[in-house]
Amino acid sequence: MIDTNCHILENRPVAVNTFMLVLEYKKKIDWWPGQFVMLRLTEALDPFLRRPFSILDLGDNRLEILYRIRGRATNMLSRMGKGENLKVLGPLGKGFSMPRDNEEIIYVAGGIGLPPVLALARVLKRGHLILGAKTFREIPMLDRIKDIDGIEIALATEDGSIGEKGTVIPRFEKLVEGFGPGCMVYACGPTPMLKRVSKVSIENGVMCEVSMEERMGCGFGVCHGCTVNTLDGNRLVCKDGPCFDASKIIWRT
Amino acid sequence: MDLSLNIADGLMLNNPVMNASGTFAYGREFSEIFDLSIMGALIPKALSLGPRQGNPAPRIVEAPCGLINSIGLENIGVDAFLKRELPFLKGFKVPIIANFFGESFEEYIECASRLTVDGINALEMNVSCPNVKSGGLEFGRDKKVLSDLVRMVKDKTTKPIIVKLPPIGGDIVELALAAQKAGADALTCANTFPAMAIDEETWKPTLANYVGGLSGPAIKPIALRFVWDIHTKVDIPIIASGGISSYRDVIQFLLAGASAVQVGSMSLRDPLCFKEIIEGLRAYMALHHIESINDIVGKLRS
Repeated sequence: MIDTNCHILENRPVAVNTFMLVLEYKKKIDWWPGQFVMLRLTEALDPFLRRPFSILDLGDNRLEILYRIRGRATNMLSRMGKGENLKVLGPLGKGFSMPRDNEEIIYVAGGIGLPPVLALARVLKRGHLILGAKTFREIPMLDRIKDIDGIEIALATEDGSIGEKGTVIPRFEKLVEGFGPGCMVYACGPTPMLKRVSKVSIENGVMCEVSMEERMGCGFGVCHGCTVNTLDGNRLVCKDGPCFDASKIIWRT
Repeated sequence: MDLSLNIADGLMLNNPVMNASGTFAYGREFSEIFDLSIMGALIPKALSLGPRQGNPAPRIVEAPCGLINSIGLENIGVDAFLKRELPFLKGFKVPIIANFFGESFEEYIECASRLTVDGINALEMNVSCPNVKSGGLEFGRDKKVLSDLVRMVKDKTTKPIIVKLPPIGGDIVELALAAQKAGADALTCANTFPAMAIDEETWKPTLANYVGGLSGPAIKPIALRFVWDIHTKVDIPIIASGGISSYRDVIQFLLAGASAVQVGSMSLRDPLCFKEIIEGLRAYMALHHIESINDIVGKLRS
């Protein structure tokens, strides 16, 4: 984990309310899909806290982040431009684990849960990616996603504007039931989706990892704000996660 | 140039900058990004007799120039701390101040007594957490209860006792005087302010606990006033805490009468801020030809 100043190289819309942020990142540092960075948007004291963003890619002096406008800080970020400066703390947290050799892989992404899952698919270069969104216009960089080496992609939209109409779940169930226990699931997205993916995986005896989200203070394990309830007791999304074995999570109702 | 100061017997600091309890965990994470031996003192997360789970999430939310938390005093308990964390912290050659709380007089006394070990230089008594029903705040509302508690704890430990006062609930100056009279060696002024956040779209409280404590630069001017008010009435050293984010803030608190400061919320945002603040203090003293940090304390001009 290091804290470093980065210039913005690009910050452009790639789907409805969704932006691709590219930072010049000069430090050499190891990372793994599922890890994240905390971005400080301004030297001023408001917004006060940094915000967590999943790493889409890091290397060749570039840090790529795909984000959606959710609140005040992401709104501010979306209005920043080339040459402006951000402070980047990271890489943080525990990413996804490695699948076993020859194991079938299913990646499930809902909405802006796409980046960590997409990052992993790009690195592992094999498996099936199911991507869900409200509508066609909310899916970023579809041309790039479609062309990842070794990845079969399936889409589902709530309004049926592209792919299957509905959620990612029916397609996911079909795939999991087909593969059976010798498969590995990686998921990130809204909590109801994660809960369903987790439940279906467990019922089919399949190992599933979910990337969790919780309101964070620090991002590196000192404030104990982002707690998640697990069978092993309280765990921190920022430090023990964000990627957790789904069978350990005690979901909040 | 001398940044060192003496808070109490056995509590000599190399500089006036320490962390605030609760934003530092037990020091391990910070130790990965900077050398903890630069600190004036280290204060691990508040300890109770047994381990505590804390409150459900969401536990933290941003506020203008600050944040509201309701962690709920989650901690590993005194015994696990002494066994697993203290040996690690002792390696930094910096005074360790153990912050602790109880749900009863007996628990406060037992904690203090177990924490009276080599490697712990002082005890900070938390009578001011607003986030749990029995987080000690009831001991910090009433000056009679507070003085009884301080007296009983003082009886059971040889370590200096620092009382961390609540910012509201009673008259903070009266409480400070009561703590001093009962034998407190120093005061920390103050804790987070009771606060709340509501989501206007869902009509729900943002924090699962409904209410929490406000910290960060948002509360700095209020904390500054508390320090000033107490300084004019009390003789024991004051450790200021409340929204300190730069060396400028430190100077302001020292002028108001604080002998040392704690930095909390700012270090969640900028984990390297301790280093920047200490270096800033040095540069300020050099620029203004100030020999000793003690030459600033309470020197507010009229």
